[in-house]
Amino acid sequence: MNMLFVTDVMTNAGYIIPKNLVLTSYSSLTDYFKVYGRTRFTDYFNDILYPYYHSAQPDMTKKSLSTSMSLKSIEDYLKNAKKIRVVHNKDDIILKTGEIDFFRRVFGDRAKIYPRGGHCGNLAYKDNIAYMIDFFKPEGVR
Amino acid sequence: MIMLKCGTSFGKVFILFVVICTLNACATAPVKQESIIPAKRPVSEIIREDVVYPIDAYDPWEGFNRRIYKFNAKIDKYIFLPVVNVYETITPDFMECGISNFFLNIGEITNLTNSILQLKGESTLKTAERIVINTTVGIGGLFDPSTSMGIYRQDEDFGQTLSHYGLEAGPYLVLPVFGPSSLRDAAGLTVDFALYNAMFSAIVNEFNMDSSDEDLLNAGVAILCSIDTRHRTKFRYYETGSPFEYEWIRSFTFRKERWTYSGSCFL
Repeated sequence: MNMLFVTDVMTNAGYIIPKNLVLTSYSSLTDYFKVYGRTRFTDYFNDILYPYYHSAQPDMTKKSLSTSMSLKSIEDYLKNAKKIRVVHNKDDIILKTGEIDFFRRVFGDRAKIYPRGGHCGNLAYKDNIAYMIDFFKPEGVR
Repeated sequence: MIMLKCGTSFGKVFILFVVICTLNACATAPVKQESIIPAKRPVSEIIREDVVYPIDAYDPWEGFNRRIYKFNAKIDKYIFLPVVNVYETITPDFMECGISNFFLNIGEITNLTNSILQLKGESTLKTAERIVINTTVGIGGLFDPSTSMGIYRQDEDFGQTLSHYGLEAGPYLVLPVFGPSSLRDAAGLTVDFALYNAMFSAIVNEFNMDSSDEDLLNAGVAILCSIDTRHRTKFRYYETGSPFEYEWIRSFTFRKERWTYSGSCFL
């Protein structure tokens, strides 16, 4: 919602905020809030993101844009990027089948997969927070 | 060009005038003055008039409220937070705790009165116990042994009392400095505030000071109390990271969810 609003306003896309309408700190956003709340991520992709890239690169298709944004497209880089690790939950609703296997295959022991926790539930799990903080500590301190 | 054919100085001046006006218009006309084009997903097509949405709130003074909201954020940024930062730097943590507990203990008078007014037996009893224990064992309220004993603070204010007797919240109202409220709760706040002051004056009177010392003490305490309140309030303006912060805060205010930390302080 926040991303959609900012993109809409900054590119003057005229998607939900009328085109050329000037908003100030005092403008009511309540009605727009409701519309943003009823706009799906695929709407954002089809109506804002894709047209934006398409205008700069006319040969780009929705498929190629989607592929270029996927982790699979940078798989070779991720395989060796020691500074990147994955923390995920097996039952996260945003996952598609096979994506956990992708993390295991590409990241190896740099992927920590919890059996439960849903979407971001591991952020309320002490051991996991300790694991994450430890990762961000400078080399010598760990 | 047609005017040029007359060859009179009037004609030239007129052309010059027209040219200047045109150039001027070009130079100053902001891009945003372009006509407003309806959105592709317009509010009118998505939002139904007959539906009450969770984010809806009775906010007839929204323009005014949004101005005060921004004003408060500035006051906070340039006055309150710098002062609180200095306070937190120079004051040892145990003193900050003691000060918080002290003011919270005086504030129990609000909880007690409003628990009684709402005929809430359990709240009244717990609050009375807290006052007695914290004032005696807790050395004048500097410590909060009640909470360790499982007797928790019962937050009740006059706004809640008015609500208890059926008064609706009324319009949303962002108070200068005090922040988000409703017309009902703002009225309640003045009552609680008067009570708090009366309570404090009664305490000060016990010391039999002369009136100039008393004024000085009152002023000092008022300042310390404000600093302590801001110190205890974890809210920071514009840290929701949402362009809809005003709407969110308004929604939380009406849902009576508290983002202020009113619990006691332990080390």
